[in-house]
Amino acid sequence: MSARHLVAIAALLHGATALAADAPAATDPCEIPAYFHYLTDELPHVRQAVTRGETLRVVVVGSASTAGAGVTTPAAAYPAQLALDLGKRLGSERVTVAAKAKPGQLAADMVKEFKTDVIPTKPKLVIWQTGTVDAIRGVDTDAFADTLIGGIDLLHRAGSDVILIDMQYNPYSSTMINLEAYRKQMTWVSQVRDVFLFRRYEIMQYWHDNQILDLGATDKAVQGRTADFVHACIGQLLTDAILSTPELANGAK
Amino acid sequence: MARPTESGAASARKGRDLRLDFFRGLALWFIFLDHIPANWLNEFTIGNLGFSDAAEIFVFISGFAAAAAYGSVMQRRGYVIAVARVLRRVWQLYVAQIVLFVMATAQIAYVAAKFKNPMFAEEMRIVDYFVEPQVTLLQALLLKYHPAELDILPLYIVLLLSFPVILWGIARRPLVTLAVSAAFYAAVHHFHWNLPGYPPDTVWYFNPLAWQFLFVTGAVCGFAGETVRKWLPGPRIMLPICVVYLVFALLVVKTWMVPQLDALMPNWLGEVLYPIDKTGLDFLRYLHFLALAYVTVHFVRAHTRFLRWRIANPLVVCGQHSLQVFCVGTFLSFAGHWILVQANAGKVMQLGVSFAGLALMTALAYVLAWYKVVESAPAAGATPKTAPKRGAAAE
Repeated sequence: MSARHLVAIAALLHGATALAADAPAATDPCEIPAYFHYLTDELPHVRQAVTRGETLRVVVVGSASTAGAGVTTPAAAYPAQLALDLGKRLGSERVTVAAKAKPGQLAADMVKEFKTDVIPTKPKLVIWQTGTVDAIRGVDTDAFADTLIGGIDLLHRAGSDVILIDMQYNPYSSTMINLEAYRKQMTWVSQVRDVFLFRRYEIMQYWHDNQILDLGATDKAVQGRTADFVHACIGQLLTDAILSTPELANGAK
Repeated sequence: MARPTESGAASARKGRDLRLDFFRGLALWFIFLDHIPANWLNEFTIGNLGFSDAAEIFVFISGFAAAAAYGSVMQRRGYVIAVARVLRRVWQLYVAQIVLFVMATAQIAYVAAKFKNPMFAEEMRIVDYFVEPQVTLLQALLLKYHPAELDILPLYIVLLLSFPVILWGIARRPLVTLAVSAAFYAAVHHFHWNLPGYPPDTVWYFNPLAWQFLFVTGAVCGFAGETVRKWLPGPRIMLPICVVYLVFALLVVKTWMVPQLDALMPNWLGEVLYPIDKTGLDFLRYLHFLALAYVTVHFVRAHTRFLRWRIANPLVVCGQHSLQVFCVGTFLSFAGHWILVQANAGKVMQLGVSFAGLALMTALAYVLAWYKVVESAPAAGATPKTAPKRGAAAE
């Protein structure tokens, strides 16, 4: 614990420099600043499964983007990419990734599915992508947070680790939809429940702002290529996050 | 009819407090910058320094200014005239909201037609609200439907509509009025009251029933500032408390932005603090604004020279024409955002667009000030600086 605090204090002291030094290394197109990688929770169930050589069962729950909206082939969607990348690191026979995605689902709809479709499959890790539909429909932000906490507690009690994924970024929707309030709720819930929040919104915005890709493109071919790139990178970054603790890096060898 | 309190009369005698105009102008500038999402300058606005943001400044100062302005009208010409003035202002705000709604709708429709990216099909469902224009337009006219970033004027409209009651209260018993407002705020939180929104089963993003507490707080300070000052402990006690709270809030806010700082935030503390609700004006936000205001007022005195410097003048003039500047600022933030997105612009251009927008807002404010001078010229050349005549108030 104290080591964690020291890291945090060091980060506080160097906060400004950490934020400023965000130029990506030229080698990896998915590269993002280090502060996005920070994993607060050690994902105990994932660690146990990997170190014991058990099958790592992952379920991804989400809405349109989890269903692969915009990618050129279904295999390019980020859950499939995650399965591929985890398989490369752990051996494909030791990983299963199931995607349960329905466009237009609210967080509350998904919690209902946890009970019927997710928990019975006994996943070690549930990746939960949500927020967009709640923001569009104007769900009360407090009720949204309560739903998230209820869902996370349900999964934790059932013996699953949880990773949250927030909204996609594009330069238009932030003026049309009040995403900010819902993103804040997701940040707070992740702090209170020690759940890793995959900051997809900020990561995509980082790529856009640094002209690594153009999320405002109107050309169909560019849109497809961009979606494939984003999903491939999310698969890779999620894999890095899931296998980021030292024990797992060794266990994966 | 109304018996003015000592302090209400005293504050009217001193003439206009330029701090009000200055900080309201600053809030308008912050709101403009915050409404251009693709803009690194908005990292420097007040919302990144603690729990409260420009909305609190705007609402508090609106309450303060309303009490000072309509309170003085009431003392000179009576309650009925003051209420008539308030209602005229409410109508102006309503018209402004509808104009902004039309602008926002035009923008949404344009984006939807131009930006057909299947990757963001779910996000673009926001356009579905316009599939039935007869419903959406009616809901907008009823102030139930507020597109993103158009939710602060409806709040202001409801607050000002309730102002005749507030004014009646603060003119008699300011602290009792504040206590009633606080009790109502507590009840709103306890019973989860809010106004109905559109789509069905939604509520207002800025809950006027809760935000009235800050508005009334501003009004009480504006009408009976001396009473409040006497009631508070001295700066030796208040100042350290405020500063400690502001630093605490700053640290908490930083943990949201820099994930590595997360470990500094114990779970139990998060359980106590979160959610820091903007809809219901969380008490932490309310306190944060008051602490900020206390420290500011302590160090920036009413007749600080700085406020009369030429460099402060653009902000002061913007603050003096807040409604028009706010509306034009909202329009310019749509336009500025559009330009930045089309150009996929870097930091230099973001800076350029931001300054161009602020310059246009300021230019408008100066034109309006000029109009005011020109139009009142036959009437003995009155300027906005002139203190209100106070003959009738003594009756």
